[in-house]
Amino acid sequence: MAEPAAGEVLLRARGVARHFGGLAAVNDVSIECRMGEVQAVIGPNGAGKTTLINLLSGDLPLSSGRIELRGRDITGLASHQISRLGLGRSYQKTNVFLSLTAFENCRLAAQSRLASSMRFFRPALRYRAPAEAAERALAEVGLEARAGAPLAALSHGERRQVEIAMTLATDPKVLLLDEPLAGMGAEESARIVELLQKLVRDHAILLVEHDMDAVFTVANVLTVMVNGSVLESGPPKQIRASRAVQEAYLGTDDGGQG
Amino acid sequence: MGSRKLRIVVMLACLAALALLPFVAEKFYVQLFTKMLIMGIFAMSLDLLIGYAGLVSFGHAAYFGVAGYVLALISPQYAAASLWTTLPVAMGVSALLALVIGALVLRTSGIYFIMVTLAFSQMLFYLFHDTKIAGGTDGIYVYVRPAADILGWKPFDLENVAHLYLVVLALFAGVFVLLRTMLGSLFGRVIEGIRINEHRMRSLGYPTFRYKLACFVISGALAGLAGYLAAIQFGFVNPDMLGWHVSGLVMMMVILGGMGTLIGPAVGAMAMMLLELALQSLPEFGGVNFGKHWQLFMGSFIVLVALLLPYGLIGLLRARGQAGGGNGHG
Repeated sequence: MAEPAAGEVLLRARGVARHFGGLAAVNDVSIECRMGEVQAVIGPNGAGKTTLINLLSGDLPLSSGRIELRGRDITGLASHQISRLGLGRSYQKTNVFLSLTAFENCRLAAQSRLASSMRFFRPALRYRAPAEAAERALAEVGLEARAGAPLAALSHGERRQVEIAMTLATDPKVLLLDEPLAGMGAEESARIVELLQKLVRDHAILLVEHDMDAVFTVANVLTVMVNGSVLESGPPKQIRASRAVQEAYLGTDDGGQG
Repeated sequence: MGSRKLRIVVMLACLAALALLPFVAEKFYVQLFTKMLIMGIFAMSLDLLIGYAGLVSFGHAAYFGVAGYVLALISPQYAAASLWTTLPVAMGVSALLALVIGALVLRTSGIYFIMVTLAFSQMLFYLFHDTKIAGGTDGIYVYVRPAADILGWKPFDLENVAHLYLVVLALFAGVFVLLRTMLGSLFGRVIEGIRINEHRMRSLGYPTFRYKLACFVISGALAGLAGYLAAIQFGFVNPDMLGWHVSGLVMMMVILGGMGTLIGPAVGAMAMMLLELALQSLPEFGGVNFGKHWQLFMGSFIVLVALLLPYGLIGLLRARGQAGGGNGHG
């Protein structure tokens, strides 16, 4: 597929909903991610942000609604199919291969981009592309020095970096990042924010994040969710000034997010 | 990195020593080792599922037994069938059975997976046990072992104890090399990833079901190879070959030997059978025939290994090897 132009809508969800019994975890949400933009989704705990990402990535089936990836209807596709169409996601709760090294984690991620892994005889080490992609991804998150360390021996923040590197190693066009900065130290956070600013040039990014400084630094569009629904959506300036958002989320006590 | 080379040298030495056995040992021991190697193939096939893909199949006897039955059913009663046609057919039927059962059971996981694999193998057990399609509870005899003739040339004779042993040994080595190769391939990495974190594998873009099914079929076909050889050696098949008892026994061999190591389960199979023999020959002492109650001691042995050796019997070697030569790796 041709490289998408800046501003092109790569991921579009229309009226998506997910009910758990009587609870509407996500209710009639429409959202777009454009090439070259960071679409941030913010909201209090339980607002349905992670559920929304799970719906977009195919981890959870929709109750209703429709999702398009690069113009193609992906509603109802399995997560592995969506991944291969160019959507990569990271998890809020670190979701990695603990007994493998950082490098092996990323190499396994990159291996998924080969046409097929139903290859039984040729030694896996002969395939150079996954290893090279893994090295690049680790370098991008600044973890090349820890490549050989088993994840079980890495700090929480370093594992979060591996989580992002794995997502990058699958070479996606659309990135869904679920609280990438959670649990990272200040230095690591700054590095990832910088990485996001670089990545956004040739990706469409949907970012769920509680670190408001980071969100307002990188986001082009903000969508505020409350109780499963979109409260308001717009550029950072508009959201910062919105009274409804102030009341519902940022809190009445001005400082809100310490 | 001498440890890898050392391991290969040790294995080749073991293989050479095993190959010399029929020239030095009595017939009884040659037959015993034939049986041990056949069970070793069976255990390695199950280790692919349990140890590498994380699929705890409790119905592996199904593929083992069915291949034996296929040989018995397609062999002419008083003449030799051809090895070259019956072996692929027997393994093919096991693979097909694994494909059908796998397509159903791989939709479950965890404890349910254990239960449904058991249920399917028991269904098969009762099919052969309660109907007359293949001799019922009595089973069927394989009076004449398959012939290996190729256009009049006879490379070996399976009726000959030493020949059968050497063929089984070659197949054992072949299965080991085949599985090692596969585990080092792209496919091997995928099934390892599935064992560790299947959910993440899916979100990385792997259609995990397909890989698990492929693994299940390969494992079933290799279990079929073991069952085919067992039917040749014993000269008969009966429903017990398909029962949960055999499934449990091979699982014990895998766990006892050290799952996820391939050679461990093979060692586990051999150790259990040697131990069975040794315990059965325990003397009578104080009016109690210990040999008759060998299973009591076998049970104690299994409990001890489970408690003291978390990595199985092969863990003993590993720990020692690492303490000796692995210090420089940090």
